[in-house]
Amino acid sequence: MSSFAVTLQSVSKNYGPTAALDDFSLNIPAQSIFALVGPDGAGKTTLLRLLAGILDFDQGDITILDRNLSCDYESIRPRIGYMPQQFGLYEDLTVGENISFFADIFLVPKAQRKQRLDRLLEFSRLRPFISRLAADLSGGMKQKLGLTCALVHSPEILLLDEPTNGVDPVSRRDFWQLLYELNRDGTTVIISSSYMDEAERASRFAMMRQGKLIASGRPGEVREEFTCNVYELVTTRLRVARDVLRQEDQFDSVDIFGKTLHLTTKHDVPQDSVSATVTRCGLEIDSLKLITPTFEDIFINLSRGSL
Amino acid sequence: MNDLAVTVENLRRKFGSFVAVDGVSFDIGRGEIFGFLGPNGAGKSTTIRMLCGLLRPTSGEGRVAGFDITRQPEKIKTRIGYMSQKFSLYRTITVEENLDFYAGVYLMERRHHRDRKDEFFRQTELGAFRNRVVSSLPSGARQLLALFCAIQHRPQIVFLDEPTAGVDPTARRYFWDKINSLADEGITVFVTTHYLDEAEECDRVAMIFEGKIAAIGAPAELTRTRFKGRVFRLGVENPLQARSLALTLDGVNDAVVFGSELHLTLGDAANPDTIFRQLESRVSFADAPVLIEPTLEDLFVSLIGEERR
Repeated sequence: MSSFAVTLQSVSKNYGPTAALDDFSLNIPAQSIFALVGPDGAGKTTLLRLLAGILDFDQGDITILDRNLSCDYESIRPRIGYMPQQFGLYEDLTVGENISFFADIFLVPKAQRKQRLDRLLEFSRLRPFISRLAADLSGGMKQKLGLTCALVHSPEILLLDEPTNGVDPVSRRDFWQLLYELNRDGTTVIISSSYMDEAERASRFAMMRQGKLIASGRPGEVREEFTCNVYELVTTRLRVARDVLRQEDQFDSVDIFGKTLHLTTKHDVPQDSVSATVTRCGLEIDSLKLITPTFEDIFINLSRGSL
Repeated sequence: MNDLAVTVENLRRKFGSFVAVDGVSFDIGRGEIFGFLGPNGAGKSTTIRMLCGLLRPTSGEGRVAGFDITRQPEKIKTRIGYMSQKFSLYRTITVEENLDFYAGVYLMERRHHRDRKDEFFRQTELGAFRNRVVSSLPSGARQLLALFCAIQHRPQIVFLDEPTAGVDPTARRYFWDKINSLADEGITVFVTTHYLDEAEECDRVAMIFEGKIAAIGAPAELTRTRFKGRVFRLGVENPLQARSLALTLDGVNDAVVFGSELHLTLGDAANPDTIFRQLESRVSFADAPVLIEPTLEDLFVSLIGEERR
């Protein structure tokens, strides 16, 4: 068996004149937690829909679990769980009824049903809410229920489309903890997010922009391959400082991060030199230090010049 | 009028027996960027609706732009702007038609509107999109237009409800630039977001849980004064196993898996060396533990944990 759960080769998908995926190739290792990160319009949803088999592509090849998606869809589909952005929960059914309903659709055998339901309720920590109407769940809990329903047929690959969008940080951490546990038990998880720093939590990720891949690999590797230095500068009048520093050739990018500026330079530019430039520009330095680049830094620099 | 754009005193709102907002008090200065953070269902939207004069409080007092939220809601409505994440724009009409529509809603004088609109098209990249249908705009441009629709009538306060969800990081920064220029002009910005890294850009933030304010202040000051303990990052072979183990140790307040790393929050009284020794006897470390600065997100998560315990 291949070590890849999913392989895309030169896949293109167009909506009229717009290329949602543009000659896109990617390997997703089996049993990884793979994040697809990128802003709206990057092609994440399209990619997941192709993998779920609910959308046809124009060109290229997709292999899932060693089978060709175009020829073997019927045999692949039962092995995939898919949670779209607007997951079709029935608001007027209870938590338990929703799960049973999806168990019916996916033809979960009666004999296995009770055991599996128990295991899922345990896993998702939803048992205390089994009789609650889906409509009465909080945003984070709805996402957990959606996840549970997508897992009811014990899929080998789980596709999740922006499950943490609009979810508060606490629920986001809870949700990821569930994904780690699932993954430990052998499920390949493919999750999309418009939140760049969510790449950090995955074992591997692909950064996408306008239907193209701009970076991929393990989070640590992508960081190391990013051959720029990022300096964090704290100074007064941040926006004025940014505009001044943007005139300097030494910096590839100057952007505001919270109450600080991130200055990106070539990898061989030492801190002394940065500090000299900032001072020469007449700016006060409250603090200046070399930092580990965030995935936002990386995204901004890799997509520079193509606004 | 004094320099406060919003004053709220012991505001409460009940729906039946459910208390959505449970006695919140805060002031927001003119030209301040105020972040309103909280989990889903914490009472954020209910508070915003009361401040906009759309919902009567059950009890408590509030003034927005100098007017009483209970007795003068109509006066408030013309002096504020509101941008929601999803429903602000009409997607099937053009950029300019959206601007015209909102100018009508806010009863702007035609002459003023024309000047503002020209200025807007001159000063932003949207000039090139003037006659484009909204549905064909990139998401960043769409958010910028939605913002302008909400502020072209020069409100004293603008409410932005998760304005940057799904937006490109570059466009997100451009958007925050605009927010900052509004503040420089003296417009008060009240913004909600789940991106706590961008909340660090606010002058002050309030964290609301279960209808009550749990923390309020400048982001840097809040993480310094309110976060209890120290956060360490360590690379481990098996983060899940390490997490379960860490959570059984005395002095470990929290343990979160981030990919191949574990973030451990240790109590102030805990001895890190003892804890790491205990851990390392059971799981192998890929990297030595590093002390990291707690983020606003760390604070948020720890305060919610505290509330729920």
